[in-house]
Amino acid sequence: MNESGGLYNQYLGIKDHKILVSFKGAVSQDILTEFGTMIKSSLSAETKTNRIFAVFVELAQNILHYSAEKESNSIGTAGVGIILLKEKQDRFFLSSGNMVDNKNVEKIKAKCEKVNGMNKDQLKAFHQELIRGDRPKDGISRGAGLGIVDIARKCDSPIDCIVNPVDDAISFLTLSVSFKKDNQ
Amino acid sequence: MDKILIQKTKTSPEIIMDFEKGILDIIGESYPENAVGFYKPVFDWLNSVTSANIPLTVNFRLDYFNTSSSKCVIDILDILDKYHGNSGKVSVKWYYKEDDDDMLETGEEFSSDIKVPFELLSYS
Repeated sequence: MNESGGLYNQYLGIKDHKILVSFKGAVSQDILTEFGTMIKSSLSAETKTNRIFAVFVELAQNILHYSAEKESNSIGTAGVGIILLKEKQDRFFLSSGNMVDNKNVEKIKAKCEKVNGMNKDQLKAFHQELIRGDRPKDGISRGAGLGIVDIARKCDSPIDCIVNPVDDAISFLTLSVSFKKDNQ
Repeated sequence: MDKILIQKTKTSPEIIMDFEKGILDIIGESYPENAVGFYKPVFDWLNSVTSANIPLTVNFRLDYFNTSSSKCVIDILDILDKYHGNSGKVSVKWYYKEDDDDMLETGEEFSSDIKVPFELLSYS
């Protein structure tokens, strides 16, 4: 890429929408808190703000805890990843990407497919089942394994899960969802 | 035992544990980096209160919590439900902002599987 070419081409490519969050790096708790606060203030007029904020926190904490790429500093260790929040005419688009161990890829894909095939009531029942169950011992969930289900309940789209194989050990995982705007 | 206060931060709620009065308040937003670690003092406190057979009121006034915190909230409710089942005196108040339908619905869902007295209360 020509680093001296300025931002004009990039600007033209995204002229018709807004980028509210664009981050690539170690997603520490402090970083996600700052972005979360910013999301709440810049979207304060939207009724979906709380849901967008909630899904942002789940995706960002996913990267923080589970990214297969880690970065350490004096404060601690955090997962590396990329997060984008875009605003277009009728929807908000939220995506996250990070490296995952290949052994976990199928599990994550299967979970997304499972929740994408569920309606509102089925998601509610599945959520209830997971939250009442024991913490998963699958080695990949530190929390309650609820994140994906919670995201599916809060967004207005299926969870788009794209996997780019990197090498024998890891792949790059992208999760994308969208939210309808109030007036749509 | 003294009153225990955990100050709120940007990502964790204020928690007040009053042994004398048998009151537990959880107020604010909850998405700490490590929810299980954050709520550990609450579980310890509940353990000593229920062992001492003290009547208990638990007030949840949460604006937002992430999924790992939600699991801790459910675990707290399960302890209270068990205490209630063993003839412990306990009531739960679930406060939600009057326009926050999601938090109302969450309260309804969380109380659906338990028998402990559970009130949903809106505030403005």
